[in-house]
Amino acid sequence: MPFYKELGNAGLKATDVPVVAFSVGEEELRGVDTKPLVGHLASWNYFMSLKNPENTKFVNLYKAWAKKAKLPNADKVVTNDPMEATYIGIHMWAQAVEKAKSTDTDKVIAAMAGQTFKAPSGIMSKMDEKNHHLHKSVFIGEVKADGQFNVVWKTPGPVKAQPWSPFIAGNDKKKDEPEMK
Amino acid sequence: MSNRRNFIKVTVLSAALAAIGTSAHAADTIKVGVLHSLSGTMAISETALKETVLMTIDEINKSGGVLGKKLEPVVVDPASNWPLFAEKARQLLTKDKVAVTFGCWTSVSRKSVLPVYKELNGLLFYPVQYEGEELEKNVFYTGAAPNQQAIPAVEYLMSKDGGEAKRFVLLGTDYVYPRRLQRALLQGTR
Repeated sequence: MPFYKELGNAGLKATDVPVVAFSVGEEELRGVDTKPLVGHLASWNYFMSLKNPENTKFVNLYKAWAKKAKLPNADKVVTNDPMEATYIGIHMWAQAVEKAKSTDTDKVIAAMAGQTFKAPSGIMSKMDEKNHHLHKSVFIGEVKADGQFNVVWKTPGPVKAQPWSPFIAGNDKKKDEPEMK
Repeated sequence: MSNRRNFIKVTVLSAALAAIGTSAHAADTIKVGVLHSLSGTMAISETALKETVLMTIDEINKSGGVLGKKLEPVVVDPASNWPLFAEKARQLLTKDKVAVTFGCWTSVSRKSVLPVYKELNGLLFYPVQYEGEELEKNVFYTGAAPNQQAIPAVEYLMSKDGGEAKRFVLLGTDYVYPRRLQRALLQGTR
């Protein structure tokens, strides 16, 4: 946050030097002065502001939980990207256990391949058949004064993960699945 | 005398009840580990993930659980302390015997617990965007790899819509994620 403040102090606006954050989300902006950040960008696979039935359900579920669990500032809780990723993960694990009819690690790993779940981001989320990563849509959002994000760009659909970046030398020889020992 | 006999009977009965209680308990639930920092520097981010796990377990239990059993969360606090993450992970797997763990935020914490999950053949779900360059049998990665977050952002800034940026400054704290991510981005933007 001090970084954004200094940018503002130096007279640099979001239109001059746009900053894209990879770790500033709704939770980090909750309760802080967003003025120096308005117009700057963040890249995520989920924003609380996305409009679709799964997200409405997810946000309401968390708001109700916050009240029930008596979280501090329960009336002002927000959802964010890692929370959505956590939610998808548990549901897919539960589906995989049902499919495997067991909680045995190796059986669940096999059953995880290709699991799908209707995600709060609005896509049908899929666990890759081989590489243990989710296929994800990418959204770029602009910070608004209320600490929420306005989506300004998104990928046409889910993107398969490349854990071995093609931009790093030698990675082309690495396998897109883990060693199954 | 008769009092004493009654006392013994009651004791035996309660012992039997306790035994039934324990075994029924063990068979009726599936334990789920929650390994997020609830104190220290990472608590601000990770506490919300602990709450999300508990909320989702509650949701699944209300709709009948998994394999007809309720999920039982086992919450521990690795306290933003990387070696403690490995200790708590081992405790979850060997003492609590959890079926799965949801946890970690920073890459150092994930690297710290990785040998434990490999050694004991456990299952870890990791929910945060990270630098890639890893693919482990015992881990499912539900956050973004660099090509699902950072690389598209750079491509957007270079596009017409994004203002056709030509120069970039990569900023980050000095640890695993920023260093490795920047390596991927530098080679990609060249």
